Amino acid sequence: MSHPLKTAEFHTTASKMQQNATSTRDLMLDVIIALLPALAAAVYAFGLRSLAVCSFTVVCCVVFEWLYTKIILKHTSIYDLSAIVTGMLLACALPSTVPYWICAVGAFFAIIVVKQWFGGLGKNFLNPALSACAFLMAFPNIMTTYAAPNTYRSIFNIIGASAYTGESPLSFMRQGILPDNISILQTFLGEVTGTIGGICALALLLGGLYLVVRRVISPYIPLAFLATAALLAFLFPRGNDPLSWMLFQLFSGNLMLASIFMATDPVTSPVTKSGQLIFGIGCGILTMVLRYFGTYEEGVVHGILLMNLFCWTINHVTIPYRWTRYLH
Amino acid sequence: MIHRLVGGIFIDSPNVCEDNTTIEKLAPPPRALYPLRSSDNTVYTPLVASGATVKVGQKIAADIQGSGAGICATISGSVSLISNACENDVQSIASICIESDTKDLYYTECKALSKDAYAKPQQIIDQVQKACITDAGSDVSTIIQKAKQHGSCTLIIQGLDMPYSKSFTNLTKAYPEEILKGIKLLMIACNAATAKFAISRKQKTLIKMLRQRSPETVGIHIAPISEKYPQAAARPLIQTITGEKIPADMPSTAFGYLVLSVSAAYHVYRAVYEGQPMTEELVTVSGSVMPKVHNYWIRIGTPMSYLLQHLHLNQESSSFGYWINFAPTNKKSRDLSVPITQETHSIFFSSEEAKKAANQTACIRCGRCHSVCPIRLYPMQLHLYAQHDAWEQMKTLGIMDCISCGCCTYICPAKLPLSQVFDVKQRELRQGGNIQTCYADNERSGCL
Repeated sequence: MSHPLKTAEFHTTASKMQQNATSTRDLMLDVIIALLPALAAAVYAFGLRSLAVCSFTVVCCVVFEWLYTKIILKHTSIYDLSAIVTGMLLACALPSTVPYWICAVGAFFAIIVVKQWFGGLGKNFLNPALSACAFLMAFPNIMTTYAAPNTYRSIFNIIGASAYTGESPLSFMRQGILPDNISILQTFLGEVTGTIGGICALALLLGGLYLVVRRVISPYIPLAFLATAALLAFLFPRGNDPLSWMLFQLFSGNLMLASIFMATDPVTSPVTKSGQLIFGIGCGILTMVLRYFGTYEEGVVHGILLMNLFCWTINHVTIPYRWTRYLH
Repeated sequence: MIHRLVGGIFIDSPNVCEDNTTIEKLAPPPRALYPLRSSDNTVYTPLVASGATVKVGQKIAADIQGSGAGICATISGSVSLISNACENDVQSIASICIESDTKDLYYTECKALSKDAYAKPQQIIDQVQKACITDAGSDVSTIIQKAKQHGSCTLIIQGLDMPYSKSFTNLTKAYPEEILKGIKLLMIACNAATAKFAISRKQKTLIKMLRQRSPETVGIHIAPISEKYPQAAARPLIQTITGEKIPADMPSTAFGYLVLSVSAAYHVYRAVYEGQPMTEELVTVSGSVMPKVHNYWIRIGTPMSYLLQHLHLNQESSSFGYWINFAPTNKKSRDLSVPITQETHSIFFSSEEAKKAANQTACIRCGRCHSVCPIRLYPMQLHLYAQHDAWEQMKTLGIMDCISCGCCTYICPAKLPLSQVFDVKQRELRQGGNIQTCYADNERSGCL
């Protein structure tokens, strides 16, 4: 007998009355819109080069996606905009000083290795942008050379530059001291040394609010993530001001970007409400542990990737069984 | 207190939004069709031979082996038995056909009950059976008797409309007194202490009008419910009003809940007080090809072609079709021989070109299907298991609880045919024999 799912005729879209117009593409478009304020803040702080890095990463991602689907004769999937989202998120996690070849390598790893080799959209078990970011940690000098704010450099600077760089707040905090040259307000508004998308907490929060209002993400993961990280920073501060230590921890590095845009990637996060809380708390704990004891100053990337691995298990544990009579 | 449906979707039905409450009567058709199988799979046996003459209200078929539920003629004329009258999407159904003699003579043996019988449950049930009152494809007298076995039972009257329909609201607006009396009769018949009358909370004037008649004194409580699809389905309705979750393999009557529609209450009133059998149904007729919405009393058995003729609609266009009781899972039909049944509450005509099926993309587990599921299943997870035929996992996640409302299919951004897949899987599981047949009594009211 033939497979019933293949023989049955499904009238999926008989009429526009019978199906909501929202498609996967719309969800992706919403994420892109939500990232725009953060990108604008980056352009304000680091100049047009940050925009160039972002555009180049996006183009690389789309080209790789298109090429791969052409080679394996699959229906092309670039129109669902997921490759653009991956490209933007990857660029947001990079410093604006990176050479362009880093973007291409990262895009290759994100799209081909993590996404397409595991089955394409919806099948990957790790967040593509984050895993590419983790892979690029193989070049620590490039990845931790952040541009200082208001130090513009030419977009034609192909190999990147190490001049005009500043120390990010996190590198101070790794040494157990509060950054003395900047205020908390500056980290909140994005006048700090850091990655393209990670500097302006205000813009990221605005984007997150937009996504929650549009019901693209549920607020549980970012809330649980940030609350756990904040609690741990407050309970185990270094220095004598727990509150400013906590706020610096929250607003610096990629924590805001990752908790709002990357940890909430629906493909690699649990679907249940309780699962999302567990996931967020786990991300928060791992991030702080890695920030306190890890080799790198930033811990969110590996923290979320580790929790991505538990996504399937968390789903299994938290989806309630239905004890109807025929089960007994 | 306003009850809120868990999950559910908003389907705006712009054509029906206008408050046209005028109720018109559609003249009896020259030919009427009665399928000999109801949607809960009761098979009826003809009681009349081919060529016999029948009158309006005369019983022409009955479920002889079972409950004694029946079908009554709705026009007078001569009978012919035919097979394959209307092409259902599953298989053709044998039917009885009556050619009208245009006299519209009434059968006089069904008489109104005397006043002292209004309080006698058995007499009311007998009268209901005589009047051939069915609701959502099930015989009302049969399910009353089932509910009575439970001892005390709660009656839930369903006055909520499906998308693109206003028939229950208009019926309640036009006959509030009759419906409240009908509910009282039903309460007596099934020995219910209280009845809950579910009405859309948007119908504020209607709720006020009903409350002015102080139905609480006789145990009828008005329950305003937020307007969402599939609020009309039995199990989500019970859960919304009482909070109790009915397992999929149990009839709701086994838990002491009897869900009947406003239309059933109205017809019970007519049967008991006036001796009228259920011969017509109030139907909202609307459509993108029609300038206005009509509310018609249509004789049961009227073929769709007669209705079209009456409305002067042009069915030539290749994309012309209609939905009976519009739902996201229903198919648009083109078959004009399909008759109006007791279950028909709305008809929506459309000549909209069928779109090319939207490209299915991969599931990204956005969770929207779960958030709209009225019984809180996890469709995305179920769909994953369905693709791999993981029967045990599907069962533990409650695939048999799915009521096929189609909310998940409606909302899915990846355009996956979720509800349809679950339908196929449920059927396979039932055929596998390891799960007993789902009770169909009232289960899918408003869903199929």
